[in-house]
Amino acid sequence: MEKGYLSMVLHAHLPFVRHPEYEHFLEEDWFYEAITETYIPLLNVFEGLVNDGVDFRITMSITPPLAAMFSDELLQNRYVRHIEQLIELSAKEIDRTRYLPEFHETAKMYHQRFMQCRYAFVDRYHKNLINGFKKFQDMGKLEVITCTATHGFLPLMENRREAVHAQVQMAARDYERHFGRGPRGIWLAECGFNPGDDAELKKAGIKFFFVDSHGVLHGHPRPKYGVFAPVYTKSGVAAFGRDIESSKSVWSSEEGYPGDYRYRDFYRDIGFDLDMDYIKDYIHPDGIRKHTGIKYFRITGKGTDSKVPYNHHEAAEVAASHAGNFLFNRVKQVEYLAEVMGGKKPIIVSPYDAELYGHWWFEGPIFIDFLLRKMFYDQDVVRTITPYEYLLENPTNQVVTPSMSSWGNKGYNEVWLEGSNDWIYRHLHKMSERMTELANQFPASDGVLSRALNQAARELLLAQSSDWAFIMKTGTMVEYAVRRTKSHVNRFNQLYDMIKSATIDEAVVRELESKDNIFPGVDYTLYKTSNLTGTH
Amino acid sequence: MIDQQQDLVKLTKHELLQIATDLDVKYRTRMGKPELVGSILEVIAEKRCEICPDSESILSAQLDQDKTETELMAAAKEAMEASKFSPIEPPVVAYREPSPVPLGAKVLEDHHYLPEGYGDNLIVMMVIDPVSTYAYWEVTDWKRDEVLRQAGAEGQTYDVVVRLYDVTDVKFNGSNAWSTKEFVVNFAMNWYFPVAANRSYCMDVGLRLGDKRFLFIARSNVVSTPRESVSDFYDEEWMMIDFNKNRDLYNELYRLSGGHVIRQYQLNSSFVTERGREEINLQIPIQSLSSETLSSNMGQKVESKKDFWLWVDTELIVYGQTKADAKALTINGEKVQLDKEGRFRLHMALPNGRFPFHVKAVSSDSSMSEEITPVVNRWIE
Repeated sequence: MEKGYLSMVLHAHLPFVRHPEYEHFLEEDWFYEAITETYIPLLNVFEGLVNDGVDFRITMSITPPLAAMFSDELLQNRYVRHIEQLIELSAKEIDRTRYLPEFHETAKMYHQRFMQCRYAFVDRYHKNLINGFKKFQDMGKLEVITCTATHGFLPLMENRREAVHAQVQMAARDYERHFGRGPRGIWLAECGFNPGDDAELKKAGIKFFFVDSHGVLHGHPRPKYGVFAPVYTKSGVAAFGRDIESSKSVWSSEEGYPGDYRYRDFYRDIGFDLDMDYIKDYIHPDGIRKHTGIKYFRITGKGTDSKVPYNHHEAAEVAASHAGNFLFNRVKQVEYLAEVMGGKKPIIVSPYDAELYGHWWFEGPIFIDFLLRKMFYDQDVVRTITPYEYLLENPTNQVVTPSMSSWGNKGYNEVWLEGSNDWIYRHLHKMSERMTELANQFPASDGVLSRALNQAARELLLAQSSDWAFIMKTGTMVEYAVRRTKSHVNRFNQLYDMIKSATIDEAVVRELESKDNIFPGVDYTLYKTSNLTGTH
Repeated sequence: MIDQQQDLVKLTKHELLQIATDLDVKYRTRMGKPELVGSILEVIAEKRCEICPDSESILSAQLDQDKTETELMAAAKEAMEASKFSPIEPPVVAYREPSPVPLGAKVLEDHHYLPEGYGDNLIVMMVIDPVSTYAYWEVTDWKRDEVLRQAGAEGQTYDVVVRLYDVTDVKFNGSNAWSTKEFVVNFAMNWYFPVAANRSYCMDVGLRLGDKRFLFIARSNVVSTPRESVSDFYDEEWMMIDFNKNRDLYNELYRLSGGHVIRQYQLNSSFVTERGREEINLQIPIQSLSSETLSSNMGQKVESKKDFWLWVDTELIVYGQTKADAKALTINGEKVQLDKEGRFRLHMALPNGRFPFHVKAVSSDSSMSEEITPVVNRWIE
């Protein structure tokens, strides 16, 4: 009989990037790379575990923008084009490396991987990876949860409650459209929580969410079991706190597993290294070099300029030993906690960005595979569980109001509110105010008015993606984030002016609908003030 | 010439950094927006002094010794933080063409002017962390004139000020705050304000007249800063939620998963004895463990000390043509694809060594064949 639980939470998210007006669009690659390197490899891990009879539980948030991209036909077909190009390039690489035995093995490995990706994407999941995740959810192995509608960061919307309400409601409705039932849990974007937001979750039928460790630890009153048991907020929604120790072993730049010198290096990529003439068909048509995903070197080590070739067999063994080490530490942790907590079984909640596994840490999916197999076969102290199953087993929990917190740098809102991005909030708040004004003015509508109102809601939601503020802060691809923010503000204001002056140009509405086509079921009446009964 | 605070505060941080770079402001990459504005104004003032000979001594004190070092550190940190949104350029880029404007920059067709304000009179407060807040505001000219007129103070000198009130646990009526602080903001439209943890605040924006009167223009929302430490409130309250009311969901989950499979216990893990028991860490987190701080050892490599380098590699192309309907073309026994015209092309890396390429073509009816064997030698002298 187990003494405690591990709940691994993978947060899968990318901002909604879709540009039908361009044949090739550099930022769409974020999505294609993540499919090849993270989403399909994870599905392959689940597939393998199920086939081998290994019981496991994983919780994954698939954000509404990511779900929208998965189910978008244009992006699906562009991914097929993308993976076919990679298959062609990797075949050339097998030829090119025939006299370089240290790279030849790796080239063959990539070729095989890309072929498998194509097979999984097209033949197994019929171009929509939601089918894959849903399959494992229906088997009871995977719990897919949602996220705020466009990864909107709630603590900075605090003065516009209608906007918080809409971010949560829209997410729940969109989830239902994809998965056939309401979401049980939510990953609040960037783990950003502000007391009071839980009431909105409750209204959407959501039963649990996650906060960073200090959100629970600084909660009020003092949480008896720290982060090792969920707490209920006053509205009766459960909050699970992040475990620090297990996070550190993967996330930390110094002690984390992904920094092992035998793992694959992320930066050296043939898209940058090889002769232009050879590589030109596989980078951006304008000759902008970019990552192809074919990388031949290992991390190698600090302070050395010459990289050693990568060996994927050796790296897999390292991943196995890291999985063993991770499990060993969890077993010790649970044994200790079970003693301290006297009777109550601890739950260790380990959330990570899904894209960490595979995209950044190439061997991450194999690590998960080894970890779940070892947990199943080698011990019976720790069992994987979903937060919902834990609540079924442990329905009585302490009532604590978690404190405002996020998992960003320093634990609060600074990443999304500082010198580089503070200018956006004046506009985002104004848009929310105007959206509510419109929703109150038009409690019902039809025809082109209704379409314009709904499109205004889409522009607002898209502008609220926390990704734009994040990118402005970190300083890569800033221009794109600034342009996206400004376009959504301007598109919104244009719609607002047309609606207020009763001069709606159907052609404009139609064009915006085709460009920003997220959320077919968007409903602007979510912004009505009357939705907020019971909150301030 | 940008020399007024009101011009600077309207700029974004990146624009300010650009100006700071032009002016060679020390430690600029480590500064927040308010410090940048302050430093830029200082440097501009110093540059002014430069013109008059007396100020020579002020300038001589400005020697910066460690500027490059601190900038390099800041740059390395930024590079590590942006990992999720590749492309990140690799540390050493081979033959990189001067890259055109990044694609995202030119493609969105909308006009990119944003209004500075919306003609409102308002102030909005936002929490950054337990000890800092941000506020933005807007005051229209007509509102300013109106309050001045109502106070009979047309033509008087005044400062635009924001007043920060500690309104923890009180219903604020304008005069019952625990404490009040006043900041002269004049031309700024937003600023950062230090506060204390676990307190509630709100703000007024208004005019402070020369005769000390305060003319109110707008009041902000109330915000509460989070606690910075563990609560000292121990009362425990417990709640039971009967999730089994949703018995159907419960059953579904377990039926579909086949219940809990009986496990096969094997003692085959060779890893469980690798490490000693580690101390369980119950401390409160200080450092962040988010994607932002993701990095590998590679992050530092960008800072290679060398400012000059060279690498050379060779690749070889073997190409040719045979009759388009040829049955097979092989190089060293491996089949090579022919295009419609019977052309073939093989591109490969060429390490040191001697490489014969035995090329053989066979006609469609296998009656004829041709063989040519070029040999390539590669070595480094």
